[in-house]
Amino acid sequence: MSRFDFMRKLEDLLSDIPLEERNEALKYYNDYFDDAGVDNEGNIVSELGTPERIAGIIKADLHLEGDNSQSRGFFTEKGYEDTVYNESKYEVVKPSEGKQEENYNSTSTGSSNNSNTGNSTGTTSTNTNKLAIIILLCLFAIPVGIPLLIAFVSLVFSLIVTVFALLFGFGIAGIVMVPVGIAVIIIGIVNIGIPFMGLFNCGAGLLILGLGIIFIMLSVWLSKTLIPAIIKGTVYIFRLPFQNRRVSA
Amino acid sequence: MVFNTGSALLDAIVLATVSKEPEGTYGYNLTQEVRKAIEVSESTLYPVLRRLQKDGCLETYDMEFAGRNRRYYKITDTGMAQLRLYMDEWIIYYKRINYIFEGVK
Repeated sequence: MSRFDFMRKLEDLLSDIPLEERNEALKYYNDYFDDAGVDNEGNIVSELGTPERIAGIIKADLHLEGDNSQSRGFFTEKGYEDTVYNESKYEVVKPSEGKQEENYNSTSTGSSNNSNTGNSTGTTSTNTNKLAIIILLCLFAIPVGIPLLIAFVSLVFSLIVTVFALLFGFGIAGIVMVPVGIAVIIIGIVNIGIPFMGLFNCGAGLLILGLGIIFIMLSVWLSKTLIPAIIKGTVYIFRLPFQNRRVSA
Repeated sequence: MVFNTGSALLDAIVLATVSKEPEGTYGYNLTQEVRKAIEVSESTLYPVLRRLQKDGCLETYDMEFAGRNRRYYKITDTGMAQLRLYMDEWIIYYKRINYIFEGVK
């Protein structure tokens, strides 16, 4: 990159800072090139790095100048403590120890900070646009959405009720069938002398008892597996809109 | 260099370098002088100079040189007072460090 390209790029990059600051910085680097001499231009350009880097350093320092309270929080807590320390001892005229260290250690941070602020303002504006669209959509969706929502909620509710009714029914049936089966077996044993009635009652009683036990087991198993599943599913369904929101945000 | 030069020390070095020239000095020369003592990149000093200027420690003026206006930096009274403060602090600092280092075998 030639000196001319470097300075032009730097001027472009500094177009968003106050005119006075821009002129000052451009004057400094222009003088710098002049004083270094034509022979050194290449060296200077390569040692300065990219115009982006230089612009980043200049802007990082300007941001600190503008708002000291922010600059304190901007750096590490160490920087904040140093500020207080320095002020009390009157060691440094302007606060912020970390100021120069920032430029020193990671000049790339300076430029990335600036690009970050640019990005964040961009996203906030698109966010407000998105929000407006979402509100409009919600308004238009009300006539269709509310009946749909009611239908959906009642569907879920009826499913839950059905499951509970089935469980309850099987459970009651099982509980009732166990004593009935035992009673029928007893009747069969009592009437064992009567050729057909005795054996038939015994068989029927065993069948009823067996079915009752199966029903009880079934309802216990269902309530063990289904009820937690239903709770989980319901929670999941009601969380869905919020999860989507989180993803889009 | 192994040791970091903090912001206050860099300010002090710049102020001291500028103060040695009664008529002030210009960016390129200043950078070369500072570089005799510590390793700074060519991009380090502009923000320092600008800040010191805003704080009233330095003042600038333009003087013609080789057919163009060159910007000179000159130390102010505030700057001198600040430099003396820094130098007093520095003497305390290096004496303490030396005290720690003394007697190390």
